[in-house]
Amino acid sequence: MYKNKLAIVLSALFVLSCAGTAQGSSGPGMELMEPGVSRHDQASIRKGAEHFAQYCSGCHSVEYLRYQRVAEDVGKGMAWARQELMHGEKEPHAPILAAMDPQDGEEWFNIAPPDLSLTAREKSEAWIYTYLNTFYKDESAEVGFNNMVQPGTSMPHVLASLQGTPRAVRDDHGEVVGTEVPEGERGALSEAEYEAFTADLTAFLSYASQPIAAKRERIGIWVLLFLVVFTTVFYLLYKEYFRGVKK
Amino acid sequence: MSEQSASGLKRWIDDRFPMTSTWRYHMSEYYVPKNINFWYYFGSLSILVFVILILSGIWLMMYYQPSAEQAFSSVHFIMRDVDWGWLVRYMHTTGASAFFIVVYLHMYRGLLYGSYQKPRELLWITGVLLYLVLMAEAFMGYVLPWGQMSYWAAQVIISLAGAVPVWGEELVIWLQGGFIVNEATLGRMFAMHTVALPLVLLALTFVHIVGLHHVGTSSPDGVEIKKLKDANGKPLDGIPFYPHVVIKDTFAFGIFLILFCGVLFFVPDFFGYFIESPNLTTADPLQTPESIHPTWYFRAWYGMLQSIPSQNLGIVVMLGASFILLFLPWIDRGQVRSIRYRGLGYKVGLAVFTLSFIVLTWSGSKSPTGLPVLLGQIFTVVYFGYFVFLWAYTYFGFEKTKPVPERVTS
Repeated sequence: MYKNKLAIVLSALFVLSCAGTAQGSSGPGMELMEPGVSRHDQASIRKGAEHFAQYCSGCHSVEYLRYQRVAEDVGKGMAWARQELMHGEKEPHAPILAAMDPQDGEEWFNIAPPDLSLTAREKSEAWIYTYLNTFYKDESAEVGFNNMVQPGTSMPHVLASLQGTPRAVRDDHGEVVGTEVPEGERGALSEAEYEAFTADLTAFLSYASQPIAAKRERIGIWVLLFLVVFTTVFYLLYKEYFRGVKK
Repeated sequence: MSEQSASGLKRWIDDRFPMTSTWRYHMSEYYVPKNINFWYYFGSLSILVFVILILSGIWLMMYYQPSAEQAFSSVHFIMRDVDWGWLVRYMHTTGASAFFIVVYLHMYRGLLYGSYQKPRELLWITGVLLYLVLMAEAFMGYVLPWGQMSYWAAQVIISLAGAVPVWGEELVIWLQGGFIVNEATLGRMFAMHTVALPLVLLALTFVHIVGLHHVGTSSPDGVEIKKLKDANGKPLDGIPFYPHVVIKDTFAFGIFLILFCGVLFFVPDFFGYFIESPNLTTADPLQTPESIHPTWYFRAWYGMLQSIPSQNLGIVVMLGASFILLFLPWIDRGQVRSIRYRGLGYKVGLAVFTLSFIVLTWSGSKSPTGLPVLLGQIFTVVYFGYFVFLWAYTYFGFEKTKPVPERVTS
């Protein structure tokens, strides 16, 4: 009877915690696209790092991440990092800083391009992936493009050479409901290739937001296994000591 | 030989320090009702969590920088560049929420089994004081990472002092050490969080345990085991704290640590409840966040505050809601302790009271419009109504209790 009451209390708390989870996502009520990436997929993170160095690090820093750390975590040496990530002479333990001066960014885009160290935790992987996949051409925008999750974005569509020039798909009320690249305006990548490309970028940024995550989970399994053994031993000891107590 | 010298040493110490007698009084001859159940684990669990927080806190202090310039980045330095720093910090963040979970359940045990009733009034009061200090401790710790939510939470909470008549405005400036929350505020929060309040918590915990061992552990039946003793003075229905309860609690520690480490290693943010995503942006005094909500464990109180249109009244109500707990032993005039033998009114009342806390927690996590405000107002009245009801119900003798057994049930 008392166990039942406990179950009711605990399930009420659980329902309550679920009810509150629906907060924190951003964008004007749009559904975010899932990138389907894993923090244990080193190859995807490595490709993402290379893409990042090529297309993003001109403007964006990842100041809390060091080149050497990336090289170690994706299972590559510093030779790879020098060739793929580091433009110019840098220390292996240097943080990944943008080539551009933030001051210039503020002058050119009205806002300094944000550091992306924690963006994946702050806004979620799905947000980044959706952001990269929902640019559309907008003549009225200063940078020539607009974005569905971040309307009025100050960032130009730097991946347009790969994706092509996406146009807005509008419903009857003129609201943007999707984006689409018209035939003949496609960039260097097919639709599937572009999605994979942006998923890899998302995987890298997700990794960058907490580099320890994959290792943390691997350690966690051993910790839990130890605790299960520990708890079992003490359960048996408890049974032994209490054998004569309860009547 | 070794036996002899060991006892010789023991005697030598006992002549100079009450070692053996203290051990007996508090451990091997401290008797606890043999039928204590699930609800009785949370006292020792809160000590476990307290130790986890103290230890991880000491290690965090070795690297954390309490300056507006460096606080945020020093936290992420700990997370990334300090060996095992991530583990230490997650122990601390998970521990903070775990502390409130076990403390809330521990307090709820008191409500279920009337553990605050005579002669345990002071025990209950020191417990409520611990809870009040813990809230201050948690709030100040939350400010230290100096993220957006840290900053604006500090702004909101300190501004509550502005409700003090006449001196309010000056008090706020004095508390934050400037006209806005700034580095001086961070410095004093750091000192309070890492030294002053932990000392108070430690002292109160000591008093709480000494008080407990004087009056004895309550039982789920509300029966005093001290009443029936055998020829040697050992309670018939008691089991010694050492080794029995220690072993039982260690088993509970295992279960708790499985849950704790499950969160720590696999979902340390706990879906935005233990670490909130807006706090991953560094503090910006010029940009107010879209919405400001406290961490989950404060939301019931915050639900009251934001539901009440007059801010000053809201503050009084919010403070009253936690301080009223201090008077519970005198509000409840019931003759029976345990819910098992109390009247139906008590059971329904406690269920409604529980519901009010849950609904207020929900209300405090929503924006202050429409339904959350309406329900917030209704359940604020219900929350206080419970205490009025409880007093009237027991004072005027409406309660129909069941007979309490002579000895504890199994």
